[in-house]
Amino acid sequence: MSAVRPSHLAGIALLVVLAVLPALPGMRALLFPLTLTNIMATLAIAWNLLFGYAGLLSLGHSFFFGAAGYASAILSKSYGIPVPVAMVIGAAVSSGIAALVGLPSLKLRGHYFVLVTLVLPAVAYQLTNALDVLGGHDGIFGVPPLVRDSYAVYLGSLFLMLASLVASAFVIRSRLGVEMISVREDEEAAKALGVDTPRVKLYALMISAFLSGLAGAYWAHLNGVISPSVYELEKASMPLLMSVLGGKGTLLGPVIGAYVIQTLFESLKIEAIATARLFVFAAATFAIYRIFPQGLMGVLRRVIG
Amino acid sequence: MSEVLVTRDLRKSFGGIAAVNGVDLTVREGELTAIIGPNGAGKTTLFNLITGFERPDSGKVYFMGRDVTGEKPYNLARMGLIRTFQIVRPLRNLTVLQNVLIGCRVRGLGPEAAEESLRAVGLWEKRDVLASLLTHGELKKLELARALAMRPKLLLLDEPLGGLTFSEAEEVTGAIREANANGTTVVLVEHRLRETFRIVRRVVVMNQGRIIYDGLPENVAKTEEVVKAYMGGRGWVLGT
Ligand SMILES: Nc1ncnc2c1ncn2[C@@H]1O[C@H](COP(=O)(O)OP(=O)(O)O)[C@@H](O)[C@H]1O
Ligand SMILES: [Mg+2]
Repeated sequence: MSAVRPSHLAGIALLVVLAVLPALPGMRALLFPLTLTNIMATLAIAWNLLFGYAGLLSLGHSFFFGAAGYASAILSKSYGIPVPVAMVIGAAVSSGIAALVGLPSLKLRGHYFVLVTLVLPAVAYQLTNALDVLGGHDGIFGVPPLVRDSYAVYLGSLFLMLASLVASAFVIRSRLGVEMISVREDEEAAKALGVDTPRVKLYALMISAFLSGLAGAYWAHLNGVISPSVYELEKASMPLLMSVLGGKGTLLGPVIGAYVIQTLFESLKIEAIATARLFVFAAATFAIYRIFPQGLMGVLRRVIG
Repeated sequence: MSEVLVTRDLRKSFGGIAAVNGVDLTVREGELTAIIGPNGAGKTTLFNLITGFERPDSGKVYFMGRDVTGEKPYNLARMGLIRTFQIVRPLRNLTVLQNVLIGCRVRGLGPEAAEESLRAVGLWEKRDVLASLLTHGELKKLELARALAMRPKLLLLDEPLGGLTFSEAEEVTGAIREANANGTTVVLVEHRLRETFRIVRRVVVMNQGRIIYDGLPENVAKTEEVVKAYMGGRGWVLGT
């Protein structure tokens, strides 16, 4: 192990603050929005692992998020499977579908993969709307919670985000991570270096879908309900905006982006401008991207360095 | 000596134009061979067919006695059939060393292999520089270093001297000669004949997708068909 760096201490301090803050008197109103933030941050971490490191653009991560949410909701509600187990199975379902979809589409050159990811949530939206076994338009109600106590649920979401971060860090430092980066940089060069590019892309997609699925399942059990609206534009675009704003291809970027965007989101809570809000974030995000391709992480590095 | 590479009647057309039109080429262990020929002769396409980046319309490729026709490029690379690109393909957001380490890791080699190859091309001092900041000459050297670090059985170099200064070209030919002396079989495509003929022992000339000469460097310019092929294109090349 290398020596403890100031940045590590700062990280631990920040974590303690995050863990304790909403438990303080008068701060309980923060519990739900912060839980949501951690879930969105997890989704952003998963998206960034795929795009920021393997260079694969997904415009439909809401699909992996929602499919696991649905699977976990049904398994726990209708089949009595314990929630944590149902969540993992749900995430595995998302990962499995990712493999089925990725196997053919990742072999093709060009933008086929992007198109496929764009179509997935649209199809899922239609299917869940139409099928009564999936709850139809109203979705599935009475999804059992992971735990009753909302502070425990919050701590769980913090743990989920941290675990995803650690998992990402582990992947990036592994041989698979190095190969993902080579694919992002130049797929032909990667092949010449002996990198099995179709396999690397498939694994990256499956891991990303699994983490997205955990986030989606957590979200379904948090809300107690999941409906086709999960497949609408917001859940698909948010991880992209959060990662690009925070810094794509950096470990912490998605987390920073998630916290900034969700905080702004909560403070601008007027339903009438919901769509405009998304547009404003997109415009702001890409303005920042133009100046700092590494997002807020880039700004931070410049300020510190 | 054993045959490292054999191609049998390799053919590849693009939209009715035969880029490679029936190539039979045998490369034996330890050779250092140049493939020359006018632009558009099919040299790069031949490399692409051998290394699996393009699939031949017909014909066979044998590597170390094994039929590898249509095999995936990354599988061939793992078997030790390594190529470089005429137009360099660096991993721009990685450092020089990281560029070289990936291939080592894939081939199960330690970081010594990366250091050795970077020293061989004179890039070791630049190991921590981002590839995006390198000059053209340095990028060409990086392309070569990446290939050398994978300890190739057969090394295919596509215009390794392209755009280099004289002193850079000297460093690169030195590194190629050294790799060959250490047992690597090398085939290189080149336009800079003076420097190339100084290090190779065999020259293959291609024109319009076919091999029109295969022999010693000394006799190339005396062969009428070769001279004609070059006069039809860019006559300056053989004057060297
Ligand atoms: N991918 C491709 N698509 C269409 N034509 C190609 C392609 N690659 C090569 N060619 C054509 O094949 C011929 C041989 O090209 P190439 O192998 O690059 O020649 P060389 O490397 O000897 O200069 C040229 O006429 C070139 O235009
Ligand atoms: Mg060429």
